[in-house]
Parts: sequence; structure tokens; C-alpha cells
Amino acid sequence: MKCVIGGPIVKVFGRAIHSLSRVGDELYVEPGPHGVSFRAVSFSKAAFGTYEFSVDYFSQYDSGMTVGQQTGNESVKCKVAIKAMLNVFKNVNQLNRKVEKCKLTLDGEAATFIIQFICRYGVVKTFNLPFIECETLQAVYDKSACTNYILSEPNVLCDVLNNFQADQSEVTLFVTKEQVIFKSYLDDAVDQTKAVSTSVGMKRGEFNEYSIRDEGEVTFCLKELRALLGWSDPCCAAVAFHFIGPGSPIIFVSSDENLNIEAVFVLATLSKPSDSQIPKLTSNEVSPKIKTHNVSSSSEGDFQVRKRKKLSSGEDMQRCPIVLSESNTPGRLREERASATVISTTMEDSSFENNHDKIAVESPSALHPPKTKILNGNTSFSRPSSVSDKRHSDVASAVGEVHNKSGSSRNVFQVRTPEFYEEEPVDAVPGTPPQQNLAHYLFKRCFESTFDPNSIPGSDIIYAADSDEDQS
Amino acid sequence: MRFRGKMTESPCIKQFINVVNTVARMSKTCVIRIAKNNLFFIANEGGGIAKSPMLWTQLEQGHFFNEFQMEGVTPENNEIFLELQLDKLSRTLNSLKLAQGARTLKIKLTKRHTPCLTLEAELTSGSIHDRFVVHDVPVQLIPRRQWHIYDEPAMSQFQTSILMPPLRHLRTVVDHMKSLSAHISVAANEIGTFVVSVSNDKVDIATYFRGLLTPKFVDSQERSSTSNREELHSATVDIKKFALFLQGEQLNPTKAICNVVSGRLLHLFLVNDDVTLQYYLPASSYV
Repeated sequence: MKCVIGGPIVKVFGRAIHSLSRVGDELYVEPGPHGVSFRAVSFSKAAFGTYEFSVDYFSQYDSGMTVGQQTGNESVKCKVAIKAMLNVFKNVNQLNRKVEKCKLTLDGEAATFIIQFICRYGVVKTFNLPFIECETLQAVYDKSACTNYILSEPNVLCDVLNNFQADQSEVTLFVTKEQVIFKSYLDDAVDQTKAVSTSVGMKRGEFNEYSIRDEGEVTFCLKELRALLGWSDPCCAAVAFHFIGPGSPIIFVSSDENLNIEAVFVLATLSKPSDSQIPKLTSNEVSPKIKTHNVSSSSEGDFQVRKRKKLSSGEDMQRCPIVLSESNTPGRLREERASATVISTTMEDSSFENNHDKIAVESPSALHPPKTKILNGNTSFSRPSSVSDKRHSDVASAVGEVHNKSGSSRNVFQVRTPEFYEEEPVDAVPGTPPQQNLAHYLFKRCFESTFDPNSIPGSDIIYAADSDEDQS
Repeated sequence: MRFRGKMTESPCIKQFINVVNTVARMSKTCVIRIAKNNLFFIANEGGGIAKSPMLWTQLEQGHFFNEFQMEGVTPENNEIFLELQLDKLSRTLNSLKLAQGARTLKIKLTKRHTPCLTLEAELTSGSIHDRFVVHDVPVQLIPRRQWHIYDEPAMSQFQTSILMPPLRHLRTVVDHMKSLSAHISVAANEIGTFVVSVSNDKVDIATYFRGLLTPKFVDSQERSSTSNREELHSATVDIKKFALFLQGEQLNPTKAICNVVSGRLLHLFLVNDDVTLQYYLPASSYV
């Protein structure tokens, strides 16, 4: 793929990269005959974002597909680390003044994504980003099936979202035929006595278009919506909401008609209606286990992130067996783990056994805090029959990723819960401890009212005597 | 216990937000005392002398609120004390400022799953429709037996009292001094000299402001007769806290007063028509 972006509109591209960087860690680049898609999916797979740049956006465009070739030689599809891309597009607003045009090249031979800024005074900046070849990343969703539709100006939405605290992670949208209420969603992990709860009501007249067939509510992550608005607001591109109800994904579509760019964000929603009517105290009693379970069972298969099989080239076919044989072991391991952990069970319910190369990457996600857990279960992801066409290097890289990317979370886990590792095999981890009140979770007995510290054997042994009392 | 107040004038709302922001910067948790005629923000946190508050802000209720109803614990103790994380309130209020601004702001004490201070704002939106925003900021009620901790501090027995120079100038000076030392000496005398100085191993810096006014107190006559009017009285305090206080310039105070208790305390005042802020800065043990 080779394409050139004109100077004044490079910032639009840059903003799209920034927006996707808030969704996931990897940027999937996928050139097609009608334009390029830039996509990202969140680590927990609860959010998917894509920007489709049509051919008209570019001043020159060559998808790299050779027309008329019988093998149907497809253009290179790849993913690059989004952090590297962010460095390239660091100061989006300054790009305007400096850059005259921007050249994007995917070099399949060298496996590099080349970005060239041709600036004023003949300065040329070249960035070579290594990429990993991969399959098409696609979220399975159906806009037309959605019964509810709202079209809103981005600045209206920004005004609304500004009312929420910056650390508010999820928001519930209550819709009726006449009005919409945005309300902050506080999950069980949040201390109810400390969190600020916010709600904003809006009449239907504030929206450009408004069609609600099923009154109800949906709860989704604010972060990705903010990411989308970060792009839509400067472009003044209206944002459309498509949704059905709890448990099925909410789809945000925003398109800039002048530049022919379409942004689509698909977010998972909580499947359980928020118990806003019930006093919050009782909701604390509901254990996250049950919750996760509900979530997973009801929303199964609604929203699938799938890697399409690409077996067109014979090269890939040959490599498949290698992948399969290699990935068997982690697959089994994962199933074992799944039987022992609630979280993994929900993952297992919805995601699929032959998703081998991903396993190593996904299992640490079970080690995430409860919030992510719910989302995990909530969206069911699959890459069914992904006899991952990717070369054997992919397996290696996937494993590599575990160490690089999720290494930190795994470490945290080990540090936090050494008991589990000492007492029983890894497989029998009984769920992820909550991030907050960890002490209460791990040392539950100590906080019970019947607990008597003196009853513990060895409690009378003094290892170090009290130091002298303060005389003053 | 009941409290409900409504502000409908946007300058008042802005000023109220400014006060909350200023206080929130100085102290994380804060006690709000609601009385018949006044609203108080009181902070006790770190550094107050002998358990007395270090920050005492008094807002005249009549100026800010167009409607004000309150009912205390009992008719005799007709007051409400509540504690909250002020930065939460301040962030919430700032979000009101971000948009085109709130037309009305209602503050209520409500009982959700916990006691909350509910802010209901009517936002001016671009369209003809009004937008209603409701924020519930959790608070903790303070039982009556702890009220005495938050009594108004007594006036300190200061040696000098002086009207500080324009805060913005002083702030620039102090902000530059911040990089040189962690402590600042503030000195003043009765003939209108105000000195801020820092020193470290390599350099001593002092900035003099002269010809400032000194507020007249009833007993100032006898004191001046007993002591040397030109003698500088000084106290060395934490420079960061002093700089924080100077950020109070945002309140547009009509006067800023500094009382010096030599070697022990700075008692600082920001006085506006409707807001009075008192800040106690104990001298640091470092000399």
C-alpha cells in the first residue's frame, strides 16, 4: 500500500490515531480497494474502534493489490504498536503548519510501515515502524438490527460528558421516548460512600435525530466514547448511537462527509440492568461471581471480534499444522484453568477453544480487576476456526506479547497472592481478588467478628519486645 | 436536619466556585458548617496550632443564596456540620464552569444510600432546552460532640498586623523564591514594612515592601507605646503553604492582612465583602 495525505488534513489522521490509541495497544492497518481501515481493539476485547479512510481522502492511493492476478494476491495487512504511531503523530496541531504532505507506505518485504512527512524547506522526516503481519480484525455487529437510534452533535455530547468526573469509567444511558439521562455507573468495586454520582438529563429536542423504539438503559465505558469524541469534536462530525438494550453492543458511528471518513466504535454493554431502583447497599451483597455469570450467558455471541481466515495463499496453508500442534498445550492448560476460575469460565463460555494462539495472551486478562472482568464476560469474543493463518512466528510473538505487555499485570498478581501459588497449583486459583479491599479479601477470617487473634497458635510469642514508651 | 440553598445569579455561582476551588487547594478534606446566616468552610488538617483550625472561611449566606432554608439538629443547635472531600466538590463544580455555565445552582443535603450534598444545576445549553445536571457528592455528618473542634479560633496575640502588598506581586516574588528554599521568613513592622526573605547556603534574598498600611485595632495605641515601632517581627513558615495562600488572590480580596506572632505563627486574612478567609500558618521548627 502506498498513499499520500495532503498537509492540511494530516491532523485528521493524527487525531484518529490518538483516538485509537485510547482503545487498544495495537493498530491494525488494512488497505482495501476502496480505502484503508485503521482499527484497534481493547485488551479485554470489550471495545473495538475503526476508522475507514476512503480513497477520496488521500491525494494518491494505491492499495497494493495487483488487479487481474489470478491468485488474488491481497495487500499486506498488519498491526503496528500504537505507541510508536503516537510518537510519530505527537503534536497533531503542529503538523498542520509544518507538514506539506504525508506519505504512508506498507512495505511487505521489509515488514515495515513507513511514514514520511514532507515538510517545508525540503525537510523530510521518515519513520520506519516494524509491523507484524496479521489477519483482518473485524467486529461482528449489526447496525440495522438496532432499534434505538440517536444522532447528536459532538459538542453537545462533549458538554454532557464534561459533567462526569474524569475518573468515571462507565456511564448508564437511560432512554425514553422523550428524554435521555446519562448517569454515572458505580460498580461494586467502587466505594459507594466516596464516589460522586452524576446524572444529566436531556430532552429529545437537543439531538439532531431521535428514534427510540425500546425504552431502556445501556451501560458502557466512557473512555472509548471520549476517545471517539476526541476525533469527532474537532471535525464537527455528528455522532450516531445505535443500540438495542443491555447486553448487546452499542455502536457509535461518526462520519466526516467532506473528507469521506467513517469512524465506528463498538462497545460492550453491561447485560444486567443497573439496580438503580434498588438501594445500592443491597447490590453490594451480590457477589461478582454471579454477576459475571449472568453477563456471560445472556450476551453470548452478540459481539464477536473475529479474525477472518485467510488461507488464500498456499504459504499460509503450509504453516497451519505447525500452529496447531504448537498451540495445543496452552489450549489445554487454559481449559484446566477455566474450570477452576470463574472469570476464565466466562471467557470460555463465550470464546472458543480453537483460539489457540490467543490463549497465552488472554489468560492473564483473567487477572484483571473485577471491572474488566465484567466487561470480558459481557462481550463474547471469538475467533472461531481461527486456524490462525499467521506464520509460526505469530505464536512466538503472541507469547512474546504476554511477557512484554501483560507481564506487568501478571507480576502484580503474583506479588499480591503468593498464597495461592504456595498452597495449590496455579490451576486452582479461585478467582481474581478485587483490587480494592485486598486485605479483606485475602485475610477474610481476620475481619470476622468471631475472630480472636489470641486463639491463633503462636500468638503469644513475642519476636521483638515493645520499645520503651515515650517518656514525654 | 435539612438544608437547601439556591443560587440564581451567575456571578454569585462563579464566586462560590472560586471560593471552593481556593479552599480545596489548601486542604483536602474540609468541614462545611451551615448556620442560619453563614456558611463556613473549615479545615483542621495538619499544622493548626493546638487543634484549632488552620483554615476558616466564612461566606455570608445572603449574598450567595437567593433561597436558603436550613434546619439544624435541634432548635438550640441550629447548625449542620458535615465533612467531605473538597476536591470532589470542586471538580464537580468546575465541570459546571466548563460548559457555558450554570443558570441556577441548587445545593441540598439529601439522603441517598449515604448522606450526600446534592448539586442540581440548570445549564445553559446551546439549544432552547435546558439541561439538568445532578451531582451527588457523598458527605459525612459530624456528631454534635465533635463540633467543638471546629469552633472559631481565637484572635492571636500578634505583635504586628499589616495589610499585605498586592497579592499578585507578592505571589510572583514568592513563586521565584520557592525554588531556593523550603521555608520563607515573613516579617513586618508597625510603620508599614513587609519583608519576605529566603536563604540557603549560597544566597540570602529579601524583598522589601514599604509604605504599607497597618490596620487600626483598638489596643494598638498602647502596644505601640510599649514597643519599638520599627522593630521587625518575623516568622519562618513553609513556603509552599504560603504560596498556596497567595493563590487566594483569585477571590479578588479587597484586603489581605498578615498578623505576625513573632517566631510562632502567621495569621493571614483575605477579606472580601462577603467572604472572609483566615489561614493559620504555624512557624516551622526549622530556623
